[in-house]
Amino acid sequence: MLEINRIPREMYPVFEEAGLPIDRIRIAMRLDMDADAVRCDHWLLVTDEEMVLLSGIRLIRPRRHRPGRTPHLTVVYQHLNDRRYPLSGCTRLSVEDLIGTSRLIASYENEDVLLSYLTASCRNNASRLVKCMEFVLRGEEIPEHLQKRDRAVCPKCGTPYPDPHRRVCPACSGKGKLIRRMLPFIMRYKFAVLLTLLTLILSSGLSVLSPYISSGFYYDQVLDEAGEFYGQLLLVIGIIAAVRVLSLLVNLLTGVISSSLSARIVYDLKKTIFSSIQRLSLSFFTNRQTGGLMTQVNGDANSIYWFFVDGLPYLLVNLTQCIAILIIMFTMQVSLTAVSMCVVPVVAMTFLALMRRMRKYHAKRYARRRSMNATLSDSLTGIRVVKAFAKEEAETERFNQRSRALADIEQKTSLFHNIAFPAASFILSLSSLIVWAFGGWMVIQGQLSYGLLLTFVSYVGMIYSPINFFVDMIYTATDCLNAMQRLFEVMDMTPDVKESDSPTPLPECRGEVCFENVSFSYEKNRKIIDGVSFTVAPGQMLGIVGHTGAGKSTLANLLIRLYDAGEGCIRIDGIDVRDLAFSDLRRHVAIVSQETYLFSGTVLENIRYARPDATYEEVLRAAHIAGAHDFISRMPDGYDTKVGFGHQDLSGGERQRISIARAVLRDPQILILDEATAAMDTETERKIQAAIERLTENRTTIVIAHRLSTLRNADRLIVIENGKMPESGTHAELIRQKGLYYKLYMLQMEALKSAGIQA
Amino acid sequence: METSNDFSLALPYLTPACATFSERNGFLSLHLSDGAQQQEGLLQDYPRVLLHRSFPFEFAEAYISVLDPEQKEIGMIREISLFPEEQAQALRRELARRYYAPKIVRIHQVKERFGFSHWRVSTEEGPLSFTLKDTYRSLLRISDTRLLVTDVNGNRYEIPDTEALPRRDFRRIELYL
Repeated sequence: MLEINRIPREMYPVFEEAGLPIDRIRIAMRLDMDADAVRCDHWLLVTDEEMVLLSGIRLIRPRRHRPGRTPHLTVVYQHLNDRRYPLSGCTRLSVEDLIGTSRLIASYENEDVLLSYLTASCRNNASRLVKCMEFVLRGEEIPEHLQKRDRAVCPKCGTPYPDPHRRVCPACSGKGKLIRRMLPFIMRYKFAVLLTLLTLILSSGLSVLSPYISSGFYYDQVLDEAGEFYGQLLLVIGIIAAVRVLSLLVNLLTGVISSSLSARIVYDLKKTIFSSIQRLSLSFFTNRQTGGLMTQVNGDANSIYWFFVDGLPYLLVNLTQCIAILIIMFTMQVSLTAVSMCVVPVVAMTFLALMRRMRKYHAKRYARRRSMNATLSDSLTGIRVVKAFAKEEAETERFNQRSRALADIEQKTSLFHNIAFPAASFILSLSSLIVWAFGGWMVIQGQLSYGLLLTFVSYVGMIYSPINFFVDMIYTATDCLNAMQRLFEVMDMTPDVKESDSPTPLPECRGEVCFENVSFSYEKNRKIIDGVSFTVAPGQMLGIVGHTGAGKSTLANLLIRLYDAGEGCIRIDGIDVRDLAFSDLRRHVAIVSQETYLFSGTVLENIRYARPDATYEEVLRAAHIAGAHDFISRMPDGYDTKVGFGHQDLSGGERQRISIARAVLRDPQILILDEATAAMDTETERKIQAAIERLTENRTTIVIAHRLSTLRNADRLIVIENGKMPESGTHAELIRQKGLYYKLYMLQMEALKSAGIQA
Repeated sequence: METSNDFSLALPYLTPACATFSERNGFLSLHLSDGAQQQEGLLQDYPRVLLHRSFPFEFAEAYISVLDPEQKEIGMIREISLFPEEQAQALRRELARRYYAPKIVRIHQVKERFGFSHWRVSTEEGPLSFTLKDTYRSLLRISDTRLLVTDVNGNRYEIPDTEALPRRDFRRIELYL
């Protein structure tokens, strides 16, 4: 039996009662809704003859509670009704996704029947059921790989991941483990870290020592007639000064070391994060927003750095300082120490309350600033539209609104800051009055010297800042742990497209491309490419035709391995592309895609991106072939014109010509043009095509195009429709077939005719 | 490969005179009267149609697009209440099933761990717990007080009025708004 969901014990008698002994059940699955989309506990059981839907409610009742014992829960399943559907005549099961729910449908020969609704939590199980049922309905055994659970489960504790794409188990990711894994990063700078720690401990030791000498010792031993050092003012002042100078020097040293250390660690971290991200396959980037990635690189590096450079060392220092102060105080006077310590919880609570409030204000301010910036960039980027619809005033008002909201919260924040913190420190000073009062009483009683009381008061004052620090640490440490978690996640992620460990070398390429029964899907259930096979002989030109979204560009992406084919295989010169080294593959195959991107830099740098060692003459030649030379020469700075973000704006056609020049410079054996000339007028396109044709003699070219006129010279054409390849052949053959290509051709011809042009 | 040059200027509205809805095999089905098949390519009977709100956040019962199982639009319903009561009820039931989103009335706990937030809530249909990834982006603000929550699996929940939540509960989510 295949239990897609495990059948709990208490269900056995229920199934039995419904005439379904466990040994008759082939597949069991729990659904969380019924046929009216009402939540309930619902089982779908498949036997050899029928599908049974048992509806019911799972009641959880506490057993009679005996005092002192943990209450036991009994689960009772109340069976409400069942519906039965025969397997004979059923052709398939399918899941239809709605907005908030999905539904399971059984198709019979001439009608469809609704089995049940389900929520998104059951969605994965349902598609597994559908796949299994394909085999059951055909009377075959369910294959091995479907028998196993494919759910992403934490290998350690067995709980499913909250998000199967993000393998983080909230139960198992220990904080200690994260920190331990982070340590090697820091340990690269062992010496500097140790030195910082040492100086920090030294400076905290000195700061603990100084009130002892300057208040208690000074009054009792120097100013008091009974003191050992009575009258030796200069000596003692000298000592005090020396201690201060020493601690200043130590502090300076700490500053010098930690500032260089911190810069290096942040640099290191950013480098690691950036290279981990670059290493990943394209699918990682298409799933996330680029903005999120940039904050990840910047923000995460900073918060991790904070934890290790400003956080952990100071935590240690503050901890030792606290303990040292406590020990000194206890050895001096026990009862007064005990009284002073009463203050600590009050202080801690005050800080905690302040912090919580402050963080809320900060979060709000951050959110409002973000929304204001979004509005600003929105209306500035869209300024053409704003002007076209005369919406300047409305935009100003929109901006003002956001800006006012931000100003509001800024004002509240600083008001809170200016009132709450003085008030808090007043409360704190009140609490130190307790020490004054109790200590003063002890001095009068003669149990304590005046100097000792002064020492005490300054120590109590010194305890506030560590407490403040600990409270602050609670919050910032959480941020940092999250950042570390994200960092390790990216580092642990394995790219979907991996380079072979022992690649087959391909120094010279003839240029034969062969797709063998290739299938591919971005998501599990939707095939984008479905069983496509074709061969391009060396030096041939292949045209790929089809509707938008038919999967033409995906074919190109598979060839250059931005993604890997799920089934089938792609060969270049008879070698599977997965066995080629990335460097060989990219050297022999170049693509000019419909998305042209120019990096910020000069035109020259952009063309040379493909081959940084190309000579100036080669660049000129490539630009000439790509039809880019003319417009580049017309710009005042020629090939040294700055383009890209924030510079000269080029038109779509101009960008395309620069990217073609880039590919031409690469001089590949196989050239893919993916709608590379779509943004140009037909005349320019013709010229460039003629030039490329001369260039691509003896080279394999794959041209993907919408306009059939682009493909005039193709040796062979293939038509892609919904991921399949229904037609292939030469232009004449396809016209004779009177299929999809013929239709498309006629439509475009008609359009030309109606415009009065004879093609 | 058919080109869609059949864009007519007027939206085809389905009226009680030309369209009859009923429930069959658990699906909503549509029958068009003879005169209603003005458009080419329309059938007389659709055993299974889908309803799609054009303005899900503004109008729950108006401007509802009626689609065939291939998501191609058959026509548009201007207002559900224009249809006879029995049909209107069937339409409402179908919409409720399609746009299922339990309404959250209490928020007992929101716990943030490693970028996920774990929620324990009470809804109109009883207690539920779920997990969000990237809390800030999982909360869609429909208006200043109305929220749509989407969890890791893609389940949707609605908070119809944040101000109607108990003060303590509101504080738990205040940070994300």
